[in-house]
Amino acid sequence: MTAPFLQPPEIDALLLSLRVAGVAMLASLPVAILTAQLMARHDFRGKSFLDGLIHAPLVLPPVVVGYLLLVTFAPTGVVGGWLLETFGISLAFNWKGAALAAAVMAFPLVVRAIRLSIEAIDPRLERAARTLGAGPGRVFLTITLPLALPGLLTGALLGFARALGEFGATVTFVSNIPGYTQTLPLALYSAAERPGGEASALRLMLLSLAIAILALILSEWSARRLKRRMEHGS
Amino acid sequence: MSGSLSLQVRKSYPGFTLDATLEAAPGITGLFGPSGGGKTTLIDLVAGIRTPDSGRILLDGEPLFDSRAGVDLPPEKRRIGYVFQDGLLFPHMTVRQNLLYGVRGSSGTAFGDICALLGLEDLVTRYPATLSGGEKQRTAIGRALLSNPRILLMDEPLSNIDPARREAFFPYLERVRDEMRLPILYVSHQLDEIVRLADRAALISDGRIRASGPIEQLFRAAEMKPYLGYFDAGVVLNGTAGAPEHGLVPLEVAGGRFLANDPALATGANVRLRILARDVAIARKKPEDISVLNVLECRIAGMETLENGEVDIDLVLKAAAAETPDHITARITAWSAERLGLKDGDRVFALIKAVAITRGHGPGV
Repeated sequence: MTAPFLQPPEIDALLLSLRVAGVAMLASLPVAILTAQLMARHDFRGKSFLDGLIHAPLVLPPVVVGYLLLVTFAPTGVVGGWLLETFGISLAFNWKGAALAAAVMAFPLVVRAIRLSIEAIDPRLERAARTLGAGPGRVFLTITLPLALPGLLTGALLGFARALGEFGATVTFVSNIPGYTQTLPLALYSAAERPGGEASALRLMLLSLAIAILALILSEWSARRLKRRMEHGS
Repeated sequence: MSGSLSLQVRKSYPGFTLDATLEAAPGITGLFGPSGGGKTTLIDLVAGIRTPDSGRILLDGEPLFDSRAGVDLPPEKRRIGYVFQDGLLFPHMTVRQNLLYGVRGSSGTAFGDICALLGLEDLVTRYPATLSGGEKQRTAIGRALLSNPRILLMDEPLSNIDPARREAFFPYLERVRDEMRLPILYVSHQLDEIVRLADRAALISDGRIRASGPIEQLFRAAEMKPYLGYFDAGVVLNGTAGAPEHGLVPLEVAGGRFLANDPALATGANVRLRILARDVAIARKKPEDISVLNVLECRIAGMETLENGEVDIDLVLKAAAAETPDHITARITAWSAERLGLKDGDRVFALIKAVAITRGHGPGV
């Protein structure tokens, strides 16, 4: 078992991970954007409470988040039962559950990156757009969102990388089932625990490293490209 | 009423209250006064960027804000054009995209006309980051005009333009003033901009309108004195250019006539003259063999001794019959006033060393 190439179970774990992290990001991005806009541009009662709630996954032990998800979204839980009855969707012990866990854990990072980039936009640009006849919705879509695009990309890629690495909440919520919920970190953990799994663990580790570095480089490159386009107008 | 703004508003902040009543008709109404006096706050209230505590803002008779009736239109529903101090162009859009951002329906003024008016034809594909201060500001004005506004608000539009290029920017503002026929509120703390561009002006300080009216009247208001400064004290007169004689242009004002060396001035053009008090000397007898062109017969209508010992003398022109003749001011030393024995009602001659023409050039005037 010293083959340098990925073995089928490892390829399964890779594809599952990409799907889980990809869906987690795509599904949570709109919510993250609206939350970031709300936090950056509006004052309301309970704002600090909401802020704390958004950041909770950063400070809570991931196992606690996973257990909370289990209690809430399992078919016996309040939300899980309703989802199953109304839409026939079950999140228990499948990749959708893993995506939910990854999205929740990555959410604070994504919101933070987007919020910072929205806060960096001169609010007077938005006011100028209002005086030109644009309502709040059009201002958001044509001014705020395009100007926040670099932060949005950074946030999404950061979140994607974080989602790929999710372990604690995932293993607690949807367990570690090869082919169903065993993402890269879970597969790496299992391989490291298994006698004779060292080579597999090594390959999975290198793979994880490669994906993470690629995501970071991509994020830097795209942010710089966008910034240059805005500054030099090419 | 078409093309007019009428407002009466009150807005309080900790340590500052704006309490203003103002009317504006088509043409430029200058809002002048020290920084922090409430000029920008006032136009922000008109734009709907800030909300008054109480009062009423009517545009063409339609309420934009009325605290009693509970009316408060959001900025996008007011149809106002706002030219911000630093332009505030959208950095991610080309000049063309910026210009087209506020175009409403098909009733808006044509894109090509506005580009021609402001000389934007060659800029449309550029991004704001590559434009000079003046180009940015012209784009900002074009963008506001293309949104088909009922009023134009300008907040110190020249403040980010290189002083050497300001002169070149005035004709654009004059064309906007003369061709668009909109009421324009023009905020500035530079008196020369107001004198050059505005028909009427209001002096705002500490949140109150201290004086307002036609420019030439405003300059004579006692409230204006502290803001004119020592070197800028003087009068503003409106006049008409006559046919050139001896290569000089005669400028007719109420009760007098000045000669000025300005070959570019068209006969019949309306002009605005600015005569500084320190450029006016006084003689008891009509001087002869003197290079000063403008020697006018006057009557002393008032004298005021300044803190530094100099005397400002209010002079009524009486070289020609006029119902309400114009006034000019002379600033002389107390010793001179005493030596000549000047007193109210005396008949004297004013020697005017310089007449500045601040308005009257360019097409369409």
